Amino acid sequence: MKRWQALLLYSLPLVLASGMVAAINTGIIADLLFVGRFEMSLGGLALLVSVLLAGGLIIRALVLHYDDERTKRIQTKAHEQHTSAQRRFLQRLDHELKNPLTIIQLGLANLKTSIPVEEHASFTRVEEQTQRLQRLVEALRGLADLDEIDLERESVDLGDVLEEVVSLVRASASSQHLLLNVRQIPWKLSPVWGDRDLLEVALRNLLDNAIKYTPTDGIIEIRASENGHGAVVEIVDTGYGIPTADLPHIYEELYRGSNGRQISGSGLGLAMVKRIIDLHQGQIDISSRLSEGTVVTLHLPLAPATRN
Amino acid sequence: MMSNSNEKTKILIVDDEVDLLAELGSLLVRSGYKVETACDGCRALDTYQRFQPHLIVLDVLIPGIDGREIVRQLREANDWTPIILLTQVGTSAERAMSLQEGADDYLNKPFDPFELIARIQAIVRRVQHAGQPTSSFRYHNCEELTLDRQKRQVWLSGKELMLTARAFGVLEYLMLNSGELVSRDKLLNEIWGWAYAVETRAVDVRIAEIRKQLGDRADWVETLVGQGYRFLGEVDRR
Repeated sequence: MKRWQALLLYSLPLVLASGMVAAINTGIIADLLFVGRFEMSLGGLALLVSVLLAGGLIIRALVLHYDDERTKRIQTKAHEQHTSAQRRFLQRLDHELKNPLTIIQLGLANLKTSIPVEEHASFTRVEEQTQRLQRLVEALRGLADLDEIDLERESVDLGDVLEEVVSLVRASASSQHLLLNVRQIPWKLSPVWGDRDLLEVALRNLLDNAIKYTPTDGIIEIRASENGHGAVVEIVDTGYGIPTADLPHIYEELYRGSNGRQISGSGLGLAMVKRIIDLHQGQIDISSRLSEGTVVTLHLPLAPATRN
Repeated sequence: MMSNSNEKTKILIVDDEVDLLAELGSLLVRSGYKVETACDGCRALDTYQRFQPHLIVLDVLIPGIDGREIVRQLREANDWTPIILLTQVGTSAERAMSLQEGADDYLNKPFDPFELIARIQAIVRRVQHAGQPTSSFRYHNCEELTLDRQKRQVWLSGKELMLTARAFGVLEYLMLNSGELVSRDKLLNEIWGWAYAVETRAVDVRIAEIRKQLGDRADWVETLVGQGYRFLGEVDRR
């Protein structure tokens, strides 16, 4: 819609409204001055004006609503196009990395035995960086796999999964002197509906992040509960937090927060978690305060038998 | 057709990247194999006829006749020379297809060079006992246990075992590679796919499921702590 059309449409109700106020005022004055004679016509005019006003308001609401929907549709479409273009790019990148990386690894394996002692440290660094690239390629492959995967959905005991994931990360948490607490509602959580192993991957990623981005002597807390619609898992840490400017981008592939670049990671963990939660028709929300901590909240649907 | 102890095992490598052929070739020569290379499908078949290798390491995406077509041609001619496919895509569908068409094994690029050597050794060992790749057989039997790969069913003493799809996949992989140590990462990549490549208990959970179903024959599936799993029973295939 052109700007002048919008202006006309939006201002119409205001013009009509002032007209109505004027008409009512005239009506009251007329009532006072010429009892009876103009009463009907002025009252009728006021009525007409109010009908027009109501009509104008309805039209305005409809136009606004339509506009809003259209903008949303355009935005969603643009977002989808952007996302799929980005995925295609990552797939190509992944593909182009594979052959050179294979050759480098083979070359390193060939050189390994003939490296003089004084060059061992240097050689090891090259090997480590190659492994880092290898991990990146594997993570990209994992992300691409999620687009084609068939979820093996079952009724999953979330308390069980949390317990397992926590037992896996406990050692790394305590080596950093982090307090790792699990809090659960006093009764057994209702089972959720999902791919147990993928949910474990998602939770594991989130806990690894919490541990990585929380300084020594911090606290990490996992809270599991449920509301009327599903299960709720919160992973709360007293870590470095995420700068507000980074928050809108944290799910993007290979995005690293501006205060997290010193800490090793693929930059794909959260993208992966987000995709896993989306595949489960769940929801993930992250709120964070710099230098205070982060709260990740997951909402997951319950298994059919326990759904209300 | 397999090499005896006096003769070096001959390996043909096929890939369109010349640098890869050079590095891989040199690594395999160092590891004690006799190696020839080819950079496209037609040359691969020519070299194959002349060189008569004991094993082929074959990239899927090569110019001319592609890797999978070569596997098909050889198998149709009843030639069971072991083939390890190198793939780039590595989706579960592609993996399943490679094995169905008669490849003995496959590796996703980029691979750990020593993993490739381990696989070559495993296949050479296996082939000394049976000519055909284990993946070309439908039924895998171990005493009163029968695994039907096509129907995805397992029977123990005439009773069907109720296994989840992933537990079946694990048992199938272990039986296909019976007697060999299979790492947890390997199982995760093969059966779960790359999205699951995070340290979790996923594999242990399925191993426990298999053991429970096997009952007093649970000891067929051996755990080597920190290393992986191995199927210990003697497997007949048909």
